[in-house]
Amino acid sequence: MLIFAYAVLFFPVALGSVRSALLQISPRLEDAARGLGHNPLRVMTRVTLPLMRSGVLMGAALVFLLTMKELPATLILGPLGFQTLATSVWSASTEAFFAQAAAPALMIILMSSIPMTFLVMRDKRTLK
Amino acid sequence: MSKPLIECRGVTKRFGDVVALDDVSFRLMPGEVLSILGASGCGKTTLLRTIAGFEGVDGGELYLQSSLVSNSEHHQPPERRNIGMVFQEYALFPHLTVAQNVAFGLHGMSKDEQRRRTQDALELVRLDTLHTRYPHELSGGQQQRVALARTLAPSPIAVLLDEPFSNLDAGMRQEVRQEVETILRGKGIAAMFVTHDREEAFAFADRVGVMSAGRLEQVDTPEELYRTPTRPEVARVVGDCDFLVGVAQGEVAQTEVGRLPFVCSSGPVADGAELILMVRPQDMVVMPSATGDCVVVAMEYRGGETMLTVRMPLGGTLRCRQGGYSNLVKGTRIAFAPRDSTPFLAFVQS
Repeated sequence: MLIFAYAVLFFPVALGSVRSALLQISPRLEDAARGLGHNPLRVMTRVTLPLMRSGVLMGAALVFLLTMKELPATLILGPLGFQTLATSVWSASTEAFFAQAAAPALMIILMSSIPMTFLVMRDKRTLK
Repeated sequence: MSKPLIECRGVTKRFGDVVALDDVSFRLMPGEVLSILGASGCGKTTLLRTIAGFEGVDGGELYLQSSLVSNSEHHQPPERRNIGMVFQEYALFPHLTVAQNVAFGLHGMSKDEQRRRTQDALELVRLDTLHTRYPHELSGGQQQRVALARTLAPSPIAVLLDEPFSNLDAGMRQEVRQEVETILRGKGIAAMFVTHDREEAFAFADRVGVMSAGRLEQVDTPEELYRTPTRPEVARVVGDCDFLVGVAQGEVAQTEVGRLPFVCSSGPVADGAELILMVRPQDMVVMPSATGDCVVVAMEYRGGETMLTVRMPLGGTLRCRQGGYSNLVKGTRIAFAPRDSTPFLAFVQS
């Protein structure tokens, strides 16, 4: 249930970044590959997919980030006693145990920084 | 006589209501360089894409080395045609190095063979030292050469180039053009390229085809095209010219600037036929004349020559090139005379 909710929630985000990656590939590149003797399947595996890779990874990183910090859907749909970092921060802070909230909050920041670093590095590479 | 590498017979292609190719027929012979000259949107890129197999045809037949590859029912996919195409924006694979780009068309060969061919192709375009670079690290001219090497490496039956020099700045264009010509001629590779630049089309093609609104109007040597265009549209595309309306009277035509000798492009015409005479700027000399009914309305000094624009009695204008310095001023009344006795080319008015 929860996984389905996440899928519905974040599908557009992932789709957006994959779509923009696809749109950036000039159809001329696929023509060029066909002209060099590759059939459509090989064009897909050797040109289109490699060029899409960064967009797909970008989408995955974004979705990971959003899932990490997602609260409402987790609270409503999560099974009883199910805890994520975001829910522990929330339950601790609603009861004013700020010290207890600090550790998972820090964890969220640290975990999120991994895909963030990845996104930023990717950006730098494409800007070059 | 050797067989044509590419032969189009009445090829027609439509996109919705737009006719991109209208009954196009021509042949490309081995070792020949053919250029297709036309304004943008006239269908010349579509013609190349049809030959390469990226587009099908709606009518007519396309043969490669005498075997049918396209008609309205049958379409051989591009990967089975062995036609090389160099795209306007080069279309190099950004995720591959120069060497990998060049080797891309060399599948199904041994690794050694691939390496050897890649090396040969890169040496041909003098880029063998840059084989580990990525396309974005190269200049426009270098990218162009990689694209050419990639196209030539699998030894295609002919090479098609789509506006090959339009993405280069003016200074480099000439240089790259000569280099490409040397490479193609050196290997005797048949090529076909499209351009909207008359100078480019004339400079390195054996024959030039003039295209307008989807029709291939005329295919001829540059000189033939310039001297004997078959239609006024062709005349205008291949060089500066103006047209005079005249009426045939035996060997001469009566026009508003006097009687001029003519030959008709479509054979002899009867007296009284309405004609359009083609006048190139160098065909006429002007003389100041107090009684002349033509008036100089503009002059443009171009160093070695002066281009005069002259208004004729009926309001039309005629451009006229005068060698060196011209002492005529704007407003001078003048009369025309043909520079020599060469007859003017005339078209029957339709």
